[in-house]
Amino acid sequence: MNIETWFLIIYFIAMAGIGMWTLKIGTKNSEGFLLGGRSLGPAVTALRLQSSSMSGYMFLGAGSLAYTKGYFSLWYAMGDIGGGVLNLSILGRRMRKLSQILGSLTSIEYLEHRYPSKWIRAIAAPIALFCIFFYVLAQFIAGGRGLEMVTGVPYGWALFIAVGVIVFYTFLGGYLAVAYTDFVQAIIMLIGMVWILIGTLQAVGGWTAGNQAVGEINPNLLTMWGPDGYDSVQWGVIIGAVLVFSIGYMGWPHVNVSHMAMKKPSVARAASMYATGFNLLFIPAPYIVGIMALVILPTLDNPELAVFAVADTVLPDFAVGIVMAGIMAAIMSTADALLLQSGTIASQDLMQRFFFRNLSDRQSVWVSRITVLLLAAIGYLVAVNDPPAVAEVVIFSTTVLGAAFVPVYIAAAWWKKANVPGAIASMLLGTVSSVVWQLAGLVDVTGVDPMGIGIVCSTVGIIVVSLATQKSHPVPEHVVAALTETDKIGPIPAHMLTGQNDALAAQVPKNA
Amino acid sequence: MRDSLGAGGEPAGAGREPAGAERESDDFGGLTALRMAPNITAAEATAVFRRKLPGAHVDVHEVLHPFWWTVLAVETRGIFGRRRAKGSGQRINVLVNAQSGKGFLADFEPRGTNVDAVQWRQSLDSQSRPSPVLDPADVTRAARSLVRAKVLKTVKLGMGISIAEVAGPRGVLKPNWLVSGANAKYSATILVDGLDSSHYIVRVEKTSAD
Repeated sequence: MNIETWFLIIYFIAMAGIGMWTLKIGTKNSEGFLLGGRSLGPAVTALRLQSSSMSGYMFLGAGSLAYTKGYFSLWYAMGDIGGGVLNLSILGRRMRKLSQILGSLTSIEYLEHRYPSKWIRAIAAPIALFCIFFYVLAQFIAGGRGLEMVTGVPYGWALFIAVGVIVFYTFLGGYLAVAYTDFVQAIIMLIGMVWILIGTLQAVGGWTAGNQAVGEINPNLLTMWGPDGYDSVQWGVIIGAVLVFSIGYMGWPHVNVSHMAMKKPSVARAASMYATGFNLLFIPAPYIVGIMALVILPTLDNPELAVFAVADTVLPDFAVGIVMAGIMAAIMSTADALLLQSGTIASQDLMQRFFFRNLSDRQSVWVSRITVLLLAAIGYLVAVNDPPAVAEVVIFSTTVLGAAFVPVYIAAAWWKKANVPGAIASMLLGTVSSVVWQLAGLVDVTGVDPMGIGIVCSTVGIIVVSLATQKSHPVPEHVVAALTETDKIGPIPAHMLTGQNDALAAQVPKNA
Repeated sequence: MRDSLGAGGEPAGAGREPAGAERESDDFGGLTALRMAPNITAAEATAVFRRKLPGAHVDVHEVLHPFWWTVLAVETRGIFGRRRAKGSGQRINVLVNAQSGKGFLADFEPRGTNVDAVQWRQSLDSQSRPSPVLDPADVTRAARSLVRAKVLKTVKLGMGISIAEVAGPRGVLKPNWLVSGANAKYSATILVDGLDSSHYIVRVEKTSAD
């Protein structure tokens, strides 16, 4: 066994120890009155938000895009860097406050409470489940590729081990699920990525020398227009590339749930600062490493392995072990969180809500377990036989989630006239238009990205249908009242808001 | 919820007593509500207000908010239910806001005096926000869902979870302080939690030009 594998094993045991320790501490502490899990501060909120959405894609997809398209890939990075801030600024505070007033525990439940109809959940839950599966698939492939690189075992076996470990984590109590370990994973991801970047720049003789060497391969790779130059630019695709990770991010139910766990709405402002800091340090790194990989490893068979292969080449063995262990743990932790969320959607949002209202807790947990095992088995079969490119999988699922949910989430918090038919029309139009656009190959024909089409369709859908059905489907009075309460965030002096307990908003008497 | 109680229907779990409280017969479906005493005094609530608006003249009075209280017992065991995890059993008090339907885990057991159910209902009617009507099954479901989410966060899917209702929903009146007042710059109304002194700004208006 090589030194990298030893580091990997030691690292997993250490993380397991932290998980068990925090679980033990966690059960000793009382939850306290009115906590309901909403206790996260700005740093943990921001880093959880980032780490739960980036691991697999950043280590495989981003490097691959950069290796094949050069600096054109930074269009995606630009969206990524701004995505966290946009999400926290537009949705953060309002979603935190509204979800508490409406009494929502999950982001799908929040949509159903804001747009009170069972059809909202019936439509939103399968879309979310479908897209989350693709995101989990990306983590599986990343985990398999990473293990293959570190241990040297064939991809099929490495994938099997990675999926097995992820499922094991999902089933084992406490472990890696607590916010502290998510926070630690994000820090390790950051340190690992920056370490690889520094090693890479040293290996190519510095930034300028590296760029000169890339320019000798193909000068167009140094431009933002792609390897074929400005003449081949499709502006619709570029706009889609920026949109997909900037506003598309706001449509991810598994990311938006972080807003609801904030200690208080004002955490969003500080969290957006942390998110920006993290993004500026972390996001450009895999893209730059991917571009420089063209110089260090010009004959790489699989561009997806650019970041892993460069790390293996430029770092000393012990550093490769530490960095790869951190990266693998981050990938597995993300996959584990997503699988757990899929299980919850299947048991709570679908089975219990629509089929078996009196599902016992034991049955509910078994539905979650079977869902997790089923998704893991299907994911393994897809990933082992004909693994799709991670970047494509993640961009596709983000596109569909963004097109389906962004206008619905934004209107939920900002527009009092957004009603049930409008939300249903928006989710359906966004999903169908983006999927059809992608599958019918209309991107190449029209030069317009499915994200752009999907967002336009779902935005027009919610506006037109909501306005047309105001009389037949008015927004319920208690929802309007909750939105009015949410509007109060602005004018109150900051010193008075400090330490405010928003749960009390739902206890204000009529004569106040 | 109001309909089901008024009709004298048995809320889920009736017949099992929440600890520390008694049930008496009246028009509240055979139940009385429990009125909790505030932990925070009027003077402390006034102090909270004056920390926000120094030098303010204030008017303070107690207001009650209707909650449902239910007690759930949680046990976790091995994946096939053969062995119980050590120290896994716990009893959890859940308060469900009767107006919003939102459940909260309480780290204390509500105590207080029994009051007429009519008072609980009047308190619900006096709330500012129109609310969807909950029935006892909704209350139990909200409580179970919250407890399940809390337990799954820590034990995840590897353990069996069983949640049993120890005591069905019972009305509770939670005390708060409504404090109004003004200083030279602002006039405001603040709701101060009667249990933990946290606050919520209900209304703020600027009284001076600057």
